[in-house]
Amino acid sequence: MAETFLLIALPACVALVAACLSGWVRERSSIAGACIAALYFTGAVFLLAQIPNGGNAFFSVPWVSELGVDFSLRLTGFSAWFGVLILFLGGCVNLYACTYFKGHQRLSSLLILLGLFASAMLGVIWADNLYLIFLFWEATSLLSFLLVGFHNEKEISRANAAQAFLITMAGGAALLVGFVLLHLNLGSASLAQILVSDIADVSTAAVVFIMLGAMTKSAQWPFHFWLPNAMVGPTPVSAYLHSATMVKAGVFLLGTLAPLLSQNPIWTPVLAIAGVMTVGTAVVRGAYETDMKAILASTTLAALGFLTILAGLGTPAAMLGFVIFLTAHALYKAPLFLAAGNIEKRFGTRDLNQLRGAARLSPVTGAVVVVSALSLIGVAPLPGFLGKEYLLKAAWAYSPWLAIAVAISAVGVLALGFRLIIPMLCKAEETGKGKQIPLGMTLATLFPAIGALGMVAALSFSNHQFLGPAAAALGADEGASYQFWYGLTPALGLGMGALALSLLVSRVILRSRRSSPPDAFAPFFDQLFDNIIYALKSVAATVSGLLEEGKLVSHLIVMLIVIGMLSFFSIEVHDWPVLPLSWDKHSIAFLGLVPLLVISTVVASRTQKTITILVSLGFVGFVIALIFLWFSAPDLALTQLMAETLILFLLAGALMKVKKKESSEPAAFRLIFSIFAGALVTLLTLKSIALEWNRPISEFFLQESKTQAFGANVVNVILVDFRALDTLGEIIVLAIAAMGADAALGAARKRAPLPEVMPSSLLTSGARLLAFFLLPTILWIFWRGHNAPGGGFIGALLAAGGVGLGLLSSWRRLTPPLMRRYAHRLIISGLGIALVSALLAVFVGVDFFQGLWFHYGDLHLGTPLLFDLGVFLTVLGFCMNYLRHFHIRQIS
Amino acid sequence: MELFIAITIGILVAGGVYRLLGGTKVDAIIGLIMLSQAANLIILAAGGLKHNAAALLDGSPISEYADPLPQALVLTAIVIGFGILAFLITLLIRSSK
Repeated sequence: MAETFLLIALPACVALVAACLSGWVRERSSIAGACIAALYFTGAVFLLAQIPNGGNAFFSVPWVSELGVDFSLRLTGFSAWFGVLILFLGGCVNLYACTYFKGHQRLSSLLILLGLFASAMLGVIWADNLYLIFLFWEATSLLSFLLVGFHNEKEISRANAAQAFLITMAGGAALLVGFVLLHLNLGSASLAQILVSDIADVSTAAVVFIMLGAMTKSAQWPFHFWLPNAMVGPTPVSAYLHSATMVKAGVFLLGTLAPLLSQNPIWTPVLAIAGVMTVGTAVVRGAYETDMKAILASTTLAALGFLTILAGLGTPAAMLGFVIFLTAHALYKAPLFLAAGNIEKRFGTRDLNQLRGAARLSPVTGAVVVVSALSLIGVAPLPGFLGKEYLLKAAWAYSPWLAIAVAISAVGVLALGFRLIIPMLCKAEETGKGKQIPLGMTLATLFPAIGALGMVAALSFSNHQFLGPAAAALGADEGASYQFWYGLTPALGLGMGALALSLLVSRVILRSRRSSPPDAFAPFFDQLFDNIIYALKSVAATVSGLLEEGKLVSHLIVMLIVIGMLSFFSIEVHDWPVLPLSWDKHSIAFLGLVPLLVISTVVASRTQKTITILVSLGFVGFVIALIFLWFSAPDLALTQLMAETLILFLLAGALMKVKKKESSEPAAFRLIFSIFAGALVTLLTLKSIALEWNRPISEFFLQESKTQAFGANVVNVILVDFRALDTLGEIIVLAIAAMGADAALGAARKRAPLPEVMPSSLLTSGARLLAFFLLPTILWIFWRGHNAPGGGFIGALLAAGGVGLGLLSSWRRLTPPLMRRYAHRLIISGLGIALVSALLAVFVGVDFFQGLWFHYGDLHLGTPLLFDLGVFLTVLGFCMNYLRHFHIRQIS
Repeated sequence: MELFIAITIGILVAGGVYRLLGGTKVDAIIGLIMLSQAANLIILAAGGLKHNAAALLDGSPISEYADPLPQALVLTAIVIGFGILAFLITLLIRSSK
């Protein structure tokens, strides 16, 4: 039984194949459509056969069990039947889309979206874990946004898709809150367990948030306005979204939770009122429409309203009505939408006033429209009749007043149904010069209508095979079944009365020629939504206007002041330790260094001349390297020297090209600010030196470096062995930064940024001589790194320095395309080697990144050395990718 | 000498901030170079300063070596700082087009 759940992946797999074969799909659209439909139908039939076995399969994979999140799926009779509808109508819609968008450039993207959407929808109805439901729920919102906005070249498509997205996403957030509350209330996130819990434990807040989420998704009043706007999506998308998916997710959730939550006192009144209001607004809106799709959208809203009322009642009789109403609606709404697309293709319009006699001119589509619309109206013996009767019956059993309200609002819906077919059945007037309806579209329209007819023709079989088990699974009485005749009841009378009245009303609607709804009523919520979005945007603009002036210096000042205040408070001047201010030989060394540093710093901070900037900065870097060397950090001194050289190299290239601007900031203000900053950092440093450090980690490194990592240079051992994962992260950052160079300056250019120069012959020949010695030096520096100052980082920076020298002396071979190629190869192979060195340990069976060693006397070879090689290659590739932008063109 | 290194760092920061507040893009880059060098020195100084005690193991007692951890941190900081500056410099070139 658990294999049934593989069906959830079927549409997604179809999407994957469509993605891989996008060219083929475009050229052979019909075949592709037929294949997809066949797959979907097979899945639907397979699923249909599972329902009588009781469904009730369960499948669970632990995920984040500590938080109550598991990948658990549950199949009940109802969710299996719903799945059949999704797959069956999905097959029709895919077939239709392939013919409708035959040869369209983006057909395969539509198929991908439709496939993923169907999978997400199956996920919503089959998930057992609340959080899993939420994830799939959000996926359907996101995918329906992309589907509705499929014609993304149109402004209106984007705007309406965004509106639908914002409302359903906001509802999704409310739903998550509701789910979390429910989880906290009941201590379980499993739907199966929640449904057998005690309502007394469920807080009203949870109920409210869940209702909010479901009502936004199912477009219930007052969130109803997005659904008619979402009509801008392509016809097959509208057909799918309105019939079996998306909007049904909301009512599905309400229906599933109704047996438990309807015991909460606010559930029934809120949902019943929202439902009736939705039906009412939908009817008023639809009465003024002449566009076929817009009228259908109104009837969808109305149907969702009725389903919400049923879920709101939550009685066994209501759940019985819920299943048949949902089924009937799916099976008449999909063909009606698809037929609207057919008619548009055939006659070039969807305006009902211009479609007089359309049903006679296009008999197959016309028959489908008539049969489906009659089902919508609720004429026996069509499924819609059952839906209407069981709806009224459940409402009557709850309260006759509710039944009367439902019947009155139903009058409008039925009138809309008549509104659809009466013009089409008229005598044909002008025919229009449209195209023939393609076979695929006709078939796709026909299938659901035939399905609906077949279902009622073999009603006892349907009752036994799927309708009964589905209703029973949702909370209707055991052994539930549907009959056309159950005697003269008030519900039957109400239904007949509504039907008769609706014929009258439809005549009124047809007579009136008003084409737009009264301004004061319909767009109220639309405008409210627009106003809210507008207000949000202007608030955001005002706030960011307050925070920034669009000037670098003012940003910096705010940041510096905040950082300065924080550090000033954190150094706690009132609790100042006694500083061991000693006068020793180091002080003498400093007495020599500090004045040099001061002079070069002051020069570097004030000068505007390129050469002065470079020399003074270089000098600062050099002095700092000396400080590193003095205080027992030879690796740092080497790295600092090499990095400084390369920075100056790049900076020289940039400064030679950039036009310099004079600073406009007042010097006195800058001076005061910087003196404060300097003094504060001085204090901070003194305090941090004075504090006693506990250094257990460093001691471990010093102790174990020789015994575990076989290296005497502890700094290097930390980088490539003890903390290799950090280093891996670092070289990945470098690889990403190298991509940044490509993004900022273009991938493959032959532009030469620097001015043409004639390199001195001394430099050219000297550089060649130097390169001769450089290569063995680099290898030596790299190799000795584990036991002496050196290693991958330093070796790579040294090698990059060599490349920079080559650029300066204009080696012909160092062209930008060549350097780009090598840079990319170096980065990829470097990252690859680093990863392999980490994963080798996993293959052997020890922990990730644990060093594997091979000993030969005093020679120790291990994966950390391999990792260091990866570091070397990545850093070199990174430097090459930047250096290539500083190519100097040689004068030939 | 603690006082001296602290003053050195302070001067570097002051110079960096002065340059940073110049307002042009070139000023920002040069200021950042100086500030990152000051930051590297702070990390090293905070770990304790020792002369002639590089963490190259030769059999001496462990307490005699300089702390290798801040050094490893600073080494990666220098390389990452170099990466950021290289990216900034390409952005500078890009924006001056």
